[in-house]
Amino acid sequence: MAKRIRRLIGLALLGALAGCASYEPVPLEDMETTRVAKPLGGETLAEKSRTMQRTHADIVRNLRTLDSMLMRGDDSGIQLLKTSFYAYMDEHVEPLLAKDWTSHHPELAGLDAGIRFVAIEMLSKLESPHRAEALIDDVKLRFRNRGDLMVEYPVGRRTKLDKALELVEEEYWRDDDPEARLSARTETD
Amino acid sequence: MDLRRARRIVLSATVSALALLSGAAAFAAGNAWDGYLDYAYVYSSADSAALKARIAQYGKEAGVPLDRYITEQFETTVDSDEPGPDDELRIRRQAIGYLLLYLASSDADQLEKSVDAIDQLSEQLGRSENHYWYHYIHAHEALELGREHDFVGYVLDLWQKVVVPLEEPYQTMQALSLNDSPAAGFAAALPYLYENVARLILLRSQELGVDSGLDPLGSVIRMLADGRVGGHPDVIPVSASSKEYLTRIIERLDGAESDAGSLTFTLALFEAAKLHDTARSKLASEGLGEATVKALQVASASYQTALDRADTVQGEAAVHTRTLRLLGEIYAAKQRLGVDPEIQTTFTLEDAIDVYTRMADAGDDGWGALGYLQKPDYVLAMRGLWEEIQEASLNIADYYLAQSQALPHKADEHARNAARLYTRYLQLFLYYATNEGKEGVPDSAYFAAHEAARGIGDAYLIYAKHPTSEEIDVAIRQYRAALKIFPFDRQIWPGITAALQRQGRESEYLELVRPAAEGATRSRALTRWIASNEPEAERLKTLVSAFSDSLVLVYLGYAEGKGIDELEAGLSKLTVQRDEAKTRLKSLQAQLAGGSHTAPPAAMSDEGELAGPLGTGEKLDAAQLSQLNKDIDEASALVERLSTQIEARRRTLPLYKSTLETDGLSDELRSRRDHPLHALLRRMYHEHADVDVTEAAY
Repeated sequence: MAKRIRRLIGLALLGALAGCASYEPVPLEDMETTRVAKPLGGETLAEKSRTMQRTHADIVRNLRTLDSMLMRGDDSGIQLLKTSFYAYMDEHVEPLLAKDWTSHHPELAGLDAGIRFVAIEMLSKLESPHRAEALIDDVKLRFRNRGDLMVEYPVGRRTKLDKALELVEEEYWRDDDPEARLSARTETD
Repeated sequence: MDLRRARRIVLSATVSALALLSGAAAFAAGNAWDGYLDYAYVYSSADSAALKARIAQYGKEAGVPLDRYITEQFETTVDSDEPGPDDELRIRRQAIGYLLLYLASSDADQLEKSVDAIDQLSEQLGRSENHYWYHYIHAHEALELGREHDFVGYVLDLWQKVVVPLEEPYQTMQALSLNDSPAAGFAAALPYLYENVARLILLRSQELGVDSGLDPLGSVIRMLADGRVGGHPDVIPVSASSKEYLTRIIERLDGAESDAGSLTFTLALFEAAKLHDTARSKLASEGLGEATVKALQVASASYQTALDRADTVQGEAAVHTRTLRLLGEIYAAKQRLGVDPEIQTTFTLEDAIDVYTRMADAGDDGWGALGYLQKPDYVLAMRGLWEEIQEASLNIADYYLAQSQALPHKADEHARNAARLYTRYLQLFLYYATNEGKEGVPDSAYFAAHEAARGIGDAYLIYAKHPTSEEIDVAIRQYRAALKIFPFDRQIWPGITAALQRQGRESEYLELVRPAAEGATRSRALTRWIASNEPEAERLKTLVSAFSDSLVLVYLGYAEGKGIDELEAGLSKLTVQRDEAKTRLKSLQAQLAGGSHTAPPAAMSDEGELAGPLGTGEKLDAAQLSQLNKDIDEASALVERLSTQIEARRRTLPLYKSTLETDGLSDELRSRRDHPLHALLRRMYHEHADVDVTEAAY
């Protein structure tokens, strides 16, 4: 209880500072303190791992919601989710996975690939073949010669990366004709 | 309550700190409100009554009420075209102030002012705090205007633009124990933002009657439930958070009672269930008065809204499962309370049966297309719907039986209504309680089938005043079917004898009931149950022993209603009669021995065995001798017959007596759907289901 009261007083002091002196500290979210180029271990790596796990879990929850709306043919809802998910991909997922090291770090590589696979599924179901294809190509490039890497795909199951690639390509890329892909991109992206 | 207290402490402490640090002069009214408004994310999602009280309290503490503070501080200020940093803070506080007034009073004008104010910051959304309030206020506006599409868009934007970017910094600061630091900035508010978003979607949207288009927010709700709401007990105690509510919603959203994961449907059904609970409470406390009837109709209308939102069979099943419970409760209350007010509902048993049929028809290959995520959910939902169909059928039929007694001039009509309902249930049972369809049939359905079959018999034989001979035939057949499903119902045996007596067919009794008794004595499932000492094994063992004796079956059919004392007195009387017969026999034999010219006939001993000749020396003529021999024969036969009867009764009465002690099994099964014996009845039924129980179908 004493600890809690101290914390509340701490908040109160913060309020006092804000209220009396109109002082607003620069929020940490605006600082570039949380981006670490290549953490090799310790708490920073653990944090990165937690962020990636959360991202994976969040995409899975988006996927569950999308599946639900697809089943019910909720086109209007799907459009809203699509807009939101694109923003999520642009502003969070792609920056998170942009660096090469997460795809090679032994503790994160599987998670990195897992995020990409559920994102591919999500984008494919949102009829975004361009973005999905780009992610598939990226996976092939980043994880070349590492087909034995274990990834969580489909959701809830662990498979080898090669098998997961096979699955997404079978499920979402039945048409291997490049012209058909181009046509699909033009129509839906 | 804890959250309210926590918030009060936070804000009181804020004020105290202001006083301490800045001195009395600095503790101007305006400054106090500045603090309250800057931390409004802590308390802004309280319910309107609590918020109103809080704002009034803060007004007292600040020395000026919020509305006046806003007028004095903000409405006299002329806005510049390009708000600077000081203007940004002022405008944000102004917008928050108006929002609080709106939330406390539901005055839409205040919300409009809040929107006008926050819109001035539409170009300054780079700051998380501005971004949050901008979307939060606009989401409220969308709700107020009934624009659910816009509401969903604002909440999704709020999540992507404000919440997601704050999560990583918050996580970092938490790891470094800096989340209480002044440097934490708006990131420290993250646990409150989770809570506010959850309440906005789950509570506020429902308060304002949004019942469509919320499904894209299912992803936000799922993310909130994943350790976000309730995940920061050091900031918001779990008990004060909406975690429990959220968990219940998530269980529904992804469980058997969903509509393929639709949040709109889940919230609609949840709201309807809350109204159902309210109606149920009124029913318990006030009976079927006007207010209760109104509450029941409101609940029913709410369920109709949920049904309208259902896109899948899964959703329809979830609604019908609950509406049938409502329907069953209404009829049970009418019967119990002896009143019969008109209650309008749009749901019928047939609608529910139609949904069940579609579920059953989908089978192993099609259950996924109904909306279910996993097969156990599908099976669970089918069984749940079945149980409500069975309970509603039995409750409504019971109501009609009660009506037939209450209104003697309509006894036949009501009895036949009851029989119709029982018959409908039996048809469903016989169609699906097969090896192929039994998966979706709950264990309790078997006893319910027994009740329905017996109910038909009762309806025609006990409740109807003028049953036709065909109806009596049906009643006898249904009693037999009921007996085969559940032979341990002692009431049904005399029911069969009564029906047979009405048709002068008493002699058929044993022939009709023996198959049911033999079914029980030969049942492998029952034998294993008793051998394994499963629940009620002792009582069942007693009954099975009794069923193997035809005389006990006769007792079960004919002796019901007589006390065991009467039966034992009858046995004593028989013994006396036999003793008298023996005495007479001895006397006759003595006469014969005394006057016989020829060898005496074989005589009986006391124990009924052949005895040697006796002689008295008295002479008898041929006619007397012939008569004496005839009397001796008759007396011997009587003694023998009485001895046989006594022996049979001495053997049977204890068995019958022991069956009396098994009374009550039916009541126990009726009141407990989870009674272990339901599982036994299911096994017994399927041992011989295809052979003879199907005769109940007609």
